[in-house]
Amino acid sequence: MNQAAQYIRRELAIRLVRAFDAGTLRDEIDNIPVKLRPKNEPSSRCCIYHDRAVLKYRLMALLGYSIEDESDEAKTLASYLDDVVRDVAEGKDPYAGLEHKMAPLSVCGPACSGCPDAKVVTTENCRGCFARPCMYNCPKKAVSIVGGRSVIDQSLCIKCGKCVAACPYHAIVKTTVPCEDACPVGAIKKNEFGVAQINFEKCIFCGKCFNQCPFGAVMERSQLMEILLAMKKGEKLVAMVAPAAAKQFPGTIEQLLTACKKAGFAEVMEVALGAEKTTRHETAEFVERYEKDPKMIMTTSCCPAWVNLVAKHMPEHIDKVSLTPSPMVYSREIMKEKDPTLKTVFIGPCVAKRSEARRKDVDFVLSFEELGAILAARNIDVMSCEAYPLERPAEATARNYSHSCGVTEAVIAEAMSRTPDFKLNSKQINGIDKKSVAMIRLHLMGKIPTNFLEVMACPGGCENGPCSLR
Amino acid sequence: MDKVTVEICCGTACYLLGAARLMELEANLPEELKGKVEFEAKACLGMCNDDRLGG
Repeated sequence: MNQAAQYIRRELAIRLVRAFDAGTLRDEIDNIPVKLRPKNEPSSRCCIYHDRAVLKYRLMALLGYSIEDESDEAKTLASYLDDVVRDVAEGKDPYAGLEHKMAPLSVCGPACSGCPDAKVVTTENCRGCFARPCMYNCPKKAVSIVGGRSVIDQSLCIKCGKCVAACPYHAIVKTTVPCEDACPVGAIKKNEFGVAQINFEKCIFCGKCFNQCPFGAVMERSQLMEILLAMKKGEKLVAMVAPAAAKQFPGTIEQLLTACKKAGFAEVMEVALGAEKTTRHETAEFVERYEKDPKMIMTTSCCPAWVNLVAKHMPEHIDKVSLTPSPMVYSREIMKEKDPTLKTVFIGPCVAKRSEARRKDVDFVLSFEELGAILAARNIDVMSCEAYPLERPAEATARNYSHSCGVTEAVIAEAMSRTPDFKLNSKQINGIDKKSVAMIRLHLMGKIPTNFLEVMACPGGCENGPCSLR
Repeated sequence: MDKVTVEICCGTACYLLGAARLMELEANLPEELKGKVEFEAKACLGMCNDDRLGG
């Protein structure tokens, strides 16, 4: 988790909202990088000028632009801002004509360090010992002793790491490219300029690279500006707050809902109400599939990174994913039934939800960080807010959707209440990574007996999502 | 020595910018300070609106 990048993102977002509210954003926005990295003060990268350049790109992503789409390096943030303001006022999508209009992630080339390719090398800690475990444990005979020291032949090495584990002196290290390492599907690779590039055909928007890059070079494209403009225009926005919010902000979820109301949302709701509907439908769907074919396997559908994974990388298994709409989609339905003029804003810790929202007509997605920035800029203290008077609190099982196993438990409870002797053989995939992708395939091919597979892209569930606050 | 109380601002701005982590101090106190310091989460202490503090 790159905390330095987290804090700088949040600080920029707070400054952006404050200046927006004060009506000074257009005048100030190009000065924010200078304000944050003044001369004669320490820099985070090679120099303050490099820092300022990266900060400019961070602001560009906050304005909603993909950094890959930059065609004019001299274009100021103020003129990017003008474009967004104009397009939103005319009711147009500000990013419509751009190549990466659908991609919620973007790599900032100037921030990317172009990490050297992963390899296993012997360091000077090597003692050239008599036992030579590095040599004897290497399955490819890539290690030899030259001049009293272990040397690895890179043309033979398969980077298995056996020598790294075997060396008693910790003298062999495996260097990595953190983004490539973190990506479960091989979607991020260095391009011809040595800069990381995301292949959006493959990317499932799980957000692992976003969190793992030590240089903070992967950025999330925000809809903050569109939301602020919609609020200012007087549009009725509804804050649909994901169950994962419970442990994110100080105070209770009811206090957070009041805070959203104070921040300018016309309506608020907890997405857990949508999760209740997901539970009912998912259970019914399971029973129906089971009665048709007792040997079937069904997977959950509420994690959008998981749905992206199946759709893009194992389309042959797509029929095993439940067709039940996610809690976000049900929440949208509930609010639109109440008032069709409402604009829906999903508030959560997830990058992939941005791709699901576009497919399912949810107007905007706001991350917890961005919501926090709005609250901070508007001096709304969650802990001091009164509890929002809910019509009724959502069911406990629905509020638990944000943990790993939460969906399974909800479905089991629901199934038991219908048919007490129900047989649900559930398994969970707690976090999508390179290894668990292989496990998922085994499950879907029926090699591991199960009929209900829950997959969550983030270990522990949504509450540890890429944009969570802790 | 009297017990020292440290108030940690958990107003939204501070919370976002690191106060959430400061609350973990309590669990990580060095042996000699254990039992001598207590931490209290406070609603916004108003520092975030002070320009001199980086407002």
